[in-house]
Amino acid sequence: MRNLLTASIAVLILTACEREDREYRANPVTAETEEKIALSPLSGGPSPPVERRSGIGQGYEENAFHVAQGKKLYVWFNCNGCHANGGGGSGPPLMDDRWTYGGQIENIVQTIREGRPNGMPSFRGKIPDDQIWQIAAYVRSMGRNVRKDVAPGRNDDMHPAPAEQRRPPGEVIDGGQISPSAQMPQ
Amino acid sequence: MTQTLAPHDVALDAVPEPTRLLTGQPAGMPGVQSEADAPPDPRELRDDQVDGQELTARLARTWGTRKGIIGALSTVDHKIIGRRYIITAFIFLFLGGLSAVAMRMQLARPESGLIGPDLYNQLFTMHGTTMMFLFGVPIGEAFAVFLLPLMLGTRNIAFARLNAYSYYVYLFGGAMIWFAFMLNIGPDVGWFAYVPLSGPEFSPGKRVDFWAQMITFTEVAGIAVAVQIVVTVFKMRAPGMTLDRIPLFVWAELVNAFIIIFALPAVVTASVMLIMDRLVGTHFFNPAEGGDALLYQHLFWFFGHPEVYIIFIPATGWVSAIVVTFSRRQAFGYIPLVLSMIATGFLSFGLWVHHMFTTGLPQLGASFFTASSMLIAIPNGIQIFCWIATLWDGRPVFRTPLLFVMGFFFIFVAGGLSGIMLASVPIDAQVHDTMFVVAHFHYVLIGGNVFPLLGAVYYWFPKFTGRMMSERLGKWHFWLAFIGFNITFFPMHITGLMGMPRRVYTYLPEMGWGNLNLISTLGATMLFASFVVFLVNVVVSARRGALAGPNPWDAGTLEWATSSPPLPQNFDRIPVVTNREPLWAHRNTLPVVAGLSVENREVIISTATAGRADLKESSPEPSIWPFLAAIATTVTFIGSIFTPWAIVWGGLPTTITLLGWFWPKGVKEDEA
Amino acid sequence: MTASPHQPLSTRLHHNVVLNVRRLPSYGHGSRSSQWWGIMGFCAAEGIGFVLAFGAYFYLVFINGVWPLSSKPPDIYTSTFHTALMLASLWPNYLARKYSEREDLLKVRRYLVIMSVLGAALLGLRVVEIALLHTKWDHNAYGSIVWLLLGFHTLHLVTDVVNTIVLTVLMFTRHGHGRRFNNVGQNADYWTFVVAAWIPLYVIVYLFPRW
Repeated sequence: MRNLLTASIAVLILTACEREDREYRANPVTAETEEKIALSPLSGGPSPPVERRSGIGQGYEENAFHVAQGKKLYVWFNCNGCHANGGGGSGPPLMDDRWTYGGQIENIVQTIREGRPNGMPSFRGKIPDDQIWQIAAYVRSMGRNVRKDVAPGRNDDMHPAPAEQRRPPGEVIDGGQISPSAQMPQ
Repeated sequence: MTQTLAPHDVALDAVPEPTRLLTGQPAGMPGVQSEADAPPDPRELRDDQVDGQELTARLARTWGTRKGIIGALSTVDHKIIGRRYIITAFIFLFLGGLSAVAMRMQLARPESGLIGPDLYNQLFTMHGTTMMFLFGVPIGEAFAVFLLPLMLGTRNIAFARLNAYSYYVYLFGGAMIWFAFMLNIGPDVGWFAYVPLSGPEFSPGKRVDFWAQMITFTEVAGIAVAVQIVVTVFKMRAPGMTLDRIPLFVWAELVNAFIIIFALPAVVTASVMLIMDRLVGTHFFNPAEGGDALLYQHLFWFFGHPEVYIIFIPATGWVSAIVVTFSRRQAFGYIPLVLSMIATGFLSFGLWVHHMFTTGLPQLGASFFTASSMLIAIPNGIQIFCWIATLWDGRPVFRTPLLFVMGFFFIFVAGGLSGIMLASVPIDAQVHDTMFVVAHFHYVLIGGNVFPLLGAVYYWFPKFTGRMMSERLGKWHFWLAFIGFNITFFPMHITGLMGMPRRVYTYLPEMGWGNLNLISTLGATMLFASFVVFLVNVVVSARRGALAGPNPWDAGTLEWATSSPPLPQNFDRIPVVTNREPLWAHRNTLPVVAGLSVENREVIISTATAGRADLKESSPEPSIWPFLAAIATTVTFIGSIFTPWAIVWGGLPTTITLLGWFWPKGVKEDEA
Repeated sequence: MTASPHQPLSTRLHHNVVLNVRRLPSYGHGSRSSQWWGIMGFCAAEGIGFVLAFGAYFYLVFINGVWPLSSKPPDIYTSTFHTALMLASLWPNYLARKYSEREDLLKVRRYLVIMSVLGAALLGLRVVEIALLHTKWDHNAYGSIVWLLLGFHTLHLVTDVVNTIVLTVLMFTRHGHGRRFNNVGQNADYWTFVVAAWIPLYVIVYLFPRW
């Protein structure tokens, strides 16, 4: 009986909840993660383009603290200046299922770090690397592409729409689509 | 062994006329033949037909608990459930204590790296939450569950199945929050969980949701037990126990139960609002949409201040019982003692704002609450003086229980004095959220609850187990605890005045708080050691302690009239009460009631004030359904943390289990 | 703590029987029964819950000044009808209680059926009422508190209606005698509490915003 109890407690501790971890001390601000991603399914050859994802993105988008931090940073770095609350403004919307440069977290990190044509500036050297990941994780939560119990609740703020955790789960169509705003008028 | 069945052989002029002990009213309306008035089945054996060993054995079979795991989970015996309740509350006391020891280790020296900020936040929250909700409220009720039916001279607590259900809900709620803590989902926002810190914006994840649901669990259990206590005290007293013959401990538990009934709904309201803000996006505490964060504080402290008295009032009951027994005289000032308990109960609802002096309230309000905070010192002072007078006038016997009561006097009065300092707004504004406050409320709570509680354990342990606790270890325990406590908490007054804030996981060496903190930690080690001694004493005494006998302390209240530990039926015949201390009034022969069933569970229901026997209701048989209902409730509550729809789909199994619980099963089991 | 060193009987006190309760009734109506006190205890706790929620409502009114916040007051016609029906239900409720004390099974059955139907109708009306609140719980603090009040009361309504229906079924089975009449009386008392809690709620939620 006692052994059973100790064993079950040990199992509990080992499976402790990743969702709830809080990393207050981030990596050195100069560190930069490398993810090899493709922006288009096209490649020069018979095989599709090579991608190499380290998987650290999961640690961000499955962690409620990171996503919530991202939600703060999203406003502090004025992402809402162009993308509004995810519905889009002068920048494309972030809560729908269309991703010009791919909707995986690594793609979003690259987009924030490198910048994209037609207005998205590069934030390399301006936002520490792990904060970029946090923002990207939050962006993923806007269309509820993260788990419900990870997505943030409402802010103590005006109420534009139901908070991320109450949105229906989204489905990401992978990168390389052309957004309607980028299409030439026919 | 032959016993007289006639009411006149010993000179007991105190026994009132039988007509004054019975109402004799039929159940039916005039002209209506009620089934309740039908004459009892002549085939059913009643306790005026059997006697002695046979009566004891038959009653024990009727009131007993079945063997095996199902039997154990089905039991409705208040002594078994009360024992579980007490042990569970003590386990939570130890867990809360261990988290405190961990915090003291971290604070022993400046810039210690033992425990990080995140774990430290969870630790102090778990410590406070456990001590207040999982130990403080339940321990008073736990003692009531075990002792009240014995002290009142009845055979079970009112609504015995609800009692079992309450225990399981409490157990599951407490286990849930501790498992959550082990899974790194421990709440980290303080035991009060103030918004906006605990709101959806600043507390991501599920940590606070588990805290809020833990509140729901413990409050459901707490209110249900409080109702059982009130009904047991009002309606199940032995015949002849008028209001002024109720033992002081029972009065304390009654007042406590009323405070619980009126205070706990406030914290449920607050935690429901909080969890709705977090999960379904309501705006109770969102200032941008018309909500207000202070609303939470008002609701919380409307509960939170009476909570202090929920913790303290049962202790006044323990102290009263111990002081009377060991002074060898009746309580000095019984009526003032009872009235001051009631006054404390009422005043406790007028104090909550003194926890909010630094929130910028209007000056007039602050002055009013300063006055009421000082006012409550009066009834508490009356109690202390009554106890001292009882001791003074009696012939005190300094056994371990009384030693702990002495410790209580010193520590609680010291805590009360720093409380009067804190009641004044200017001082409070200075020391708010410093270690001074920590020192104050530990003097009040440990002095006011834990010391009397330990005394109560030494006092009633023979009744619980049939064996005495070791007096030698008890003295070691007391002195280690008393000295250790003061070494731990006295320096906190000074660190607080030096400006050390509460709830910080470390501090810089330049602040100069290092030495005092080290002393506190050493004291905490000593306090910890005292509890180890206590645990050893409990375990060893339960197995090898000296046999106690029914009344080892020569006490006067009814729980000592039965064997130790009591048989399932508590009493072979229900006593008739003629005195505040029945066993001192009737040293050889106890006046009793006859005529109750031996084959079915029957209890006497008496009138609320005069204590006349009015009805003989049936008391619930054991049932597994309360346990199943508690499981269904648990699944519903935990599910609702993850989706609000859990309330809907969890409602069905809960309803089914409740139906199973209440649906009558046969003739014998004709109760609800 | 399993050792049970029970004392031999001889050390126990002798009994001197001074009273015989053989003839006492086995249950009693109203405040004579223990269950009535239990119901009153829970009504007290829940009543305090309502009072605190009303307090929170007026606290929010006081904080905001403007009330209701950016929406029109809830529809009054359904709720007034609902309230009238609730008040009307007190009569059959009273009769169910009265005949339960007289242990008149046929009349108790009749009024319990009426109460079950009325309860179900009131629940249906409640759903319509909530749909006509003109606000949602997540719109603003006004919507939140109104939904909380109605939700809290609906919880009581559901509890008592389910209880009434179960009791009605019970009174049509072989268990419908003796102490069950007592339960009918207690259920009626609880219904009175549910109605009593609704009246201030109606005034606060429906009439107050129109002043």
